[in-house]
Amino acid sequence: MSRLATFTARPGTVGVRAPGRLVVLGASRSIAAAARTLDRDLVLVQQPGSPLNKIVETGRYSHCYSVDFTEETFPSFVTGVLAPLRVGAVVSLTESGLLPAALANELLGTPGTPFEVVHTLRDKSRMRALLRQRAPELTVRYAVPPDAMAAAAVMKGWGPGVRAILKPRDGSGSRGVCLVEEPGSLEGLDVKGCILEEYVGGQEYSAESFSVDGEHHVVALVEKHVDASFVELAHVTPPSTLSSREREAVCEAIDDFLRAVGLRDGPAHTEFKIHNGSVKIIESHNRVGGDGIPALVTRVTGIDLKASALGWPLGLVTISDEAPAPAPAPASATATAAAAVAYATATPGLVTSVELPDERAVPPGVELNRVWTGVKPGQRVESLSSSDDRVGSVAVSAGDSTTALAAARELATRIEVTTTPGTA
Amino acid sequence: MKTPILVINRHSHGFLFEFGRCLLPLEDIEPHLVTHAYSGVDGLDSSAFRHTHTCSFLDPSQVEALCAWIIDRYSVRHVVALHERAMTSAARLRTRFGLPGLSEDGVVLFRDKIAMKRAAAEAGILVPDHHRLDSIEDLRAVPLDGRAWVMKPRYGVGSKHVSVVTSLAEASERWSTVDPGPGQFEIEEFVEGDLFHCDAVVEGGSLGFAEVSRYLANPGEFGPDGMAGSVNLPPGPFTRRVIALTAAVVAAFGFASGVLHLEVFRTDGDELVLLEVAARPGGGGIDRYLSLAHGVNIIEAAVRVELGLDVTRRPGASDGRSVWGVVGFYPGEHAFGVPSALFGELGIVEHLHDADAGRGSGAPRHCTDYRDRYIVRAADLVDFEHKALTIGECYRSAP
Repeated sequence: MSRLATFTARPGTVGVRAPGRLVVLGASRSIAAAARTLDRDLVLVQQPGSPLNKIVETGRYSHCYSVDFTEETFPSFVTGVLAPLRVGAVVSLTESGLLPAALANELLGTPGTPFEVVHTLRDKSRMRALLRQRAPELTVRYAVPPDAMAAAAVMKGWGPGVRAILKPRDGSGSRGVCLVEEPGSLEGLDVKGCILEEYVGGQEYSAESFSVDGEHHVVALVEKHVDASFVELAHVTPPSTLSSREREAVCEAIDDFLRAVGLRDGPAHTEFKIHNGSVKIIESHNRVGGDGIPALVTRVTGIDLKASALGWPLGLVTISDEAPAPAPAPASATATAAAAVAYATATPGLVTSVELPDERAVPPGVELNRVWTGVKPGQRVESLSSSDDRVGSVAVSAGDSTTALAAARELATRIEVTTTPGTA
Repeated sequence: MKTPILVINRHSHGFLFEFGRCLLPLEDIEPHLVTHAYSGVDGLDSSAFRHTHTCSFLDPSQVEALCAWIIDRYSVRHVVALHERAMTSAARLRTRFGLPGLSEDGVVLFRDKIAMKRAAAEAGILVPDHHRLDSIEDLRAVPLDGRAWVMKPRYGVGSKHVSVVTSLAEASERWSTVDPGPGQFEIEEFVEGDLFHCDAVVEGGSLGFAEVSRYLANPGEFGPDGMAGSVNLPPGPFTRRVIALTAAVVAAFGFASGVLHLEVFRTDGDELVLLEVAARPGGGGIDRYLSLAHGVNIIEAAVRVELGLDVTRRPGASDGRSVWGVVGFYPGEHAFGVPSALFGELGIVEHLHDADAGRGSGAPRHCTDYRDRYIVRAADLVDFEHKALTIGECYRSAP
């Protein structure tokens, strides 16, 4: 049974300590920094063109390779270059690196989430098919139509008034997700490579879990807020909109889900909704959540999800399974009761100025954790169609979720990115 | 489409630039850079160097495995290596993949100091008497009778682990201290005389640009607080002899194209005795004064010749009479620097400070591990020597 766990990520007490280097595919600066806290030599594999000067650890012989790990030639790199390096495990916390990491582990005989499991989570149609077979109560109706006409026919079959979601089978970051109001709207759409799913309304959440030998520990539940195009605009943990009974039901559902897809070890970020009292899985990934969620979780639980996700295959993770109640509780002296992040958007165009919120705007009882902006004057802002189109964020912590979320949203509106129509 | 090339760079990333100008022809090539994380990515522009790999050079087999994968994956056409220690790996890769440039057989003559001397001697070039050392017993065959001999690694770089011995006891102690494996060391006759170097560009088996310089101190004698460097010589009968000897080495070694750094003694009897020759640009600031004086950057030339491109020659500042050189200072206890106010008076046209020289040990690691390096222009050799002495006095004077 799944439980919200007290869980720490310090090297060395639980799990089999595997020798060898840790290989990380597609590390961000924060992931590379987290990997360096582990007691292992690090090998980074970055996409060609990725900035290296802030990723590479200088002053020592550190390995960092520029290789497109999504290419068909990646296995030859694994066997030709990585194999002689005495690798202990290959890990990725980025969506595009999950399958290559699993493939590399199979080729090298090193521990990690099996390729089949990762493939199931990456391919939403495989996941739905498996759920229909093993945990039908967790899934919604779906189809992988060959063309728009077939998609419309399927949708009609679901009955009147049923809305649908059309999205890429292997997408992430809200890219290419669209809400289909009625079958006629599908006309002329390119549905190749897409899955059509029955839309369920209501609040969306994610469960940040960590599994050890088939025991699934829900570390935190996160409430997610999106715009009309499903781009994520805010997260808060713990959710203020889930009752304790619902939280318990969620933990059981996550346990059932992870068993159904065959995930036994490591992190998972599972998005779900509660529809007519039952949990419906939206999608799941064998990695930590993006969007600053790990930082929120650390704030509230004291758990470093990134370091845990990187270190578990090498036995560098400690699990304490003594949390008695399925409720999120501060797990360290530094933890706070709630944490939230909210994102700023801007009118498409050329950036002319960027203003950040004044610290005096932070309400009493709220701690400002991070303000970030990803744009500068002269850069172009695109219309909001994926997470990459957001222009900044504010992360805060507070005594309760409602206060934290409201403060993060308010402060995010104060990231003022002014644009003018035109091109760079 | 740009030509994919592999660049193995064991120097800092700045080595590939001259005051912001990249020495690689980026408009024609797509570089796949294999370097290290000490300073190999300092200031690296990931858009210009999209394919950059950092790795440990301690294990050449790992580096070569990476390079082989890059060559195969990207259909690399040329392998460029500018550091002495990368020459053999580059040559092995060229041979394995049938790429142009110095082959595995060819590189031996430049890396193996015994094979090098044997090949030169067979061509009638004077070389020091020398012996291969496989064990301490081999020292007994060397006439260590009070004359000076030089013990050195057979494949050494930067005058590291070079020592002068004058007796069997001294040589045996040295051997025991280093404890090299069989075939890793040699001993050669100590040659009395001034040491010169010739830096040359070879294209189509013939010498193109070639400049002769004199070392200010024997590179083998580097140490804390020491001063060293080079000064180039105005053209004359002696420089022509050195260039002719360089051409003879090129012919004897069958060296078709590339850049050479050749070292030669001039004995008291006016004989030229070959010390060593390397198939790479000279280090320690030689590239800088040659570039300033003659408009030929020998690092850039090495790359371009490797790629089959013409050597770029820009206008140089040399008027044919003045001399140029480098004065370098090793880390030590008396390294204070030359006040910039004196640069003009002392003919200093460029200064490079390397805070990392010695890597914190307080002593140089090799013969070009300068803490401060000054490029100097002088009216003639006498003026240069005077300026170099004055620079040395200023450098060691506490402010």
